[in-house]
This record gives sequence, C-alpha cells and structure tokens, in this order.
Amino acid sequence: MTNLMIEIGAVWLLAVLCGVPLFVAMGLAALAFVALSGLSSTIVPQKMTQAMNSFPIVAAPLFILMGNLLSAAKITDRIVRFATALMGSLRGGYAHASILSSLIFAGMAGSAVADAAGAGSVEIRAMKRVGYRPETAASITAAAATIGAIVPPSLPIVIYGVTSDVSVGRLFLAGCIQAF
Amino acid sequence: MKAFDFVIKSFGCLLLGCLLVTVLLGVVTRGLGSPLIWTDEAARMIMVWLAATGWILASRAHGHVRVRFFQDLLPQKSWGLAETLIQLVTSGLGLVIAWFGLALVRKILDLEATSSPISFGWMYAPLVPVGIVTAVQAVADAIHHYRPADQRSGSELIQ
Repeated sequence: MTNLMIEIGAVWLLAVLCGVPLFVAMGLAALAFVALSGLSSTIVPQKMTQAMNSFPIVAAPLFILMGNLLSAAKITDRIVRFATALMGSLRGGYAHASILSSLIFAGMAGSAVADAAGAGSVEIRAMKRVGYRPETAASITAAAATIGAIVPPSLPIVIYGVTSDVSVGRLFLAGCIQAF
Repeated sequence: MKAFDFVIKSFGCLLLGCLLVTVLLGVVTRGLGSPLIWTDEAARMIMVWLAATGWILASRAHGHVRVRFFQDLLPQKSWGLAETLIQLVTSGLGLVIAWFGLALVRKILDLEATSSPISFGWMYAPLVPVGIVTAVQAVADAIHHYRPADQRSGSELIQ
C-alpha cells in the first residue's frame, strides 16, 4: 500500500512540475490509483461528485455571494467609516481602523481573500489619503485580512471541518478565542 | 463563444439564486418547526451543478491553476510541444470524466432520490457536459498555439 501511495504521489508531483493544471494532475493521480488497485472506473465520477455533495459545503458559494453583495451595496465603505470613527483619533488610528473593519467584514464574508479584495481596497485608499506609504497600507491590510479565516463564520473552517470530519461548531468556538 | 459564456454565467446565477432560496426555505421551515424534507438534498444537488458550472467557466477563462515555472524554462519549440501534450492530456481527462460520468448516470438512472421524485442520476449528470467542455477547450487551446500571431485577436496576444 505504501508503494502504491508513493507511486500515486509521484504521478501527481511529476504532472504538477510538468505544468499540467492542478485539477488534471489530481485527476491523473486518482486514475492511476483506480487502475493500479483494480477498482471500478465509475468510482472516479462518483467520488468527484461526492466531494461536493455535502450540505456544509453549500456555505461556500453563499459566503462568496455575501462578500460580493457587501461590496456592491457599498456596505464595506460604511464599515470602514464606522471603524475609522471609533479608532481614527488614536495614534496609528487608521491602521487600527483597518484591522477593526477587517474583523467586522470577516464576520460576514468569512474569507481572507474576500476581506482583502472587499474591505482592503477601501482601507488602503483611506490609509494612503492620510499619508501612509502604499507598502505599509498593503502590509497592514494583508495581515488584517488573514483574520477572515479565523473569525466565525469562516469558510476555511467550514471546509476544514467537512474534510477532516471535525465539528464545525467546535472549530468556530476555537476561532472565537483566537480572533478576539 | 460569447453567447455560450453568457448562457453558462446566467445558468450559474440562476443556480446560485435557487441555492439561496432552497437553503433559506430549509432554515425558515426548520425554525417554524415543520421542516421541508427535500431542501437539504436539493441544496446538495444544486451545489454539485453550481460547482460544475464554475468548472466550465474556469476552463473557458483559463482559470485553472498551473505551475508553469519548469515549462517556461524550455526553448520555444519544446515549450510548444509540451503545451500541446499538456492540452492533449487535459482533453483526455475531460473525455474520461464525460465517459465514466455517462456510464454512472446510465447505471443509476432508475435510482430515485431519497426525498424528491427525481432520478439520482441528476446528481452525476453535470460531469458529462463538464468533461466535454474540458476536452473541447483543451483541444482548442492546443490548436490555438499553432495559429500565427497575426490571426489572433489582441486579447489573445496579451494572454
């Protein structure tokens, strides 16, 4: 079994390094496993579909929809304005405001990338306007956006919970402690 | 091809709307104490179709992630050869997915879903168009690399 796993891993790694798209590399590795272990070939589409056939995974597109709705409805700007009103008067207030607005946004959008793309653009613009260097503003936003993966409800936590068969509720609870 | 992309994008939006309504119905009726039995299964089925739509759109937009570092080190001729080979492998995988997907759908066509009066085969049905689009797109990309630069559009040259 170990040899088989090594062979399949080698197929995957070789395909990736050759420049084959990742999904093709994974598909080739899966086909190699099916061929070498003598399983029925219909297991390939069955397993591919079953990966998506999970109710918690349904949260993923809805999180993305929520992030897009927040940006389209300009709610992101309001969140940043609110955070700036709270923290703006402090020393380095705009950086604090950026982190706070990322925290609020993350609670709704649930993804670090959505946070950086949605709230990040507004935060960077605000920080640059008050004299922050673009590099500093980008670094603060990048660091703050990672909170999106920790603050519940978080998309990576849902995916991790489903993949590793761990309670998503317990993971959310663990995220609360880390985030706040 | 713009019409095809438009249709797929519209279909994706429709599926997302259906998913939202289905999940919302499930949550609301559960909260009211008389849950609808079909919402969970319908949401999962729509999710599979939504993922398949995303796959098709990613294939059309060349959005699948690739590590091109080692391929880009090759001389131009070998690069083209490697690219053609990669696209042919991609096309082959697409055909395999479509073929086995079709076989699976035909095998379980009589099997009814647990909570709704439709065939369980619909869960696996999107793999057939996904495989076909992946295969056709890969062949088109392989041919594209052999077209002279003056026959390509501006956006293609930028890519």
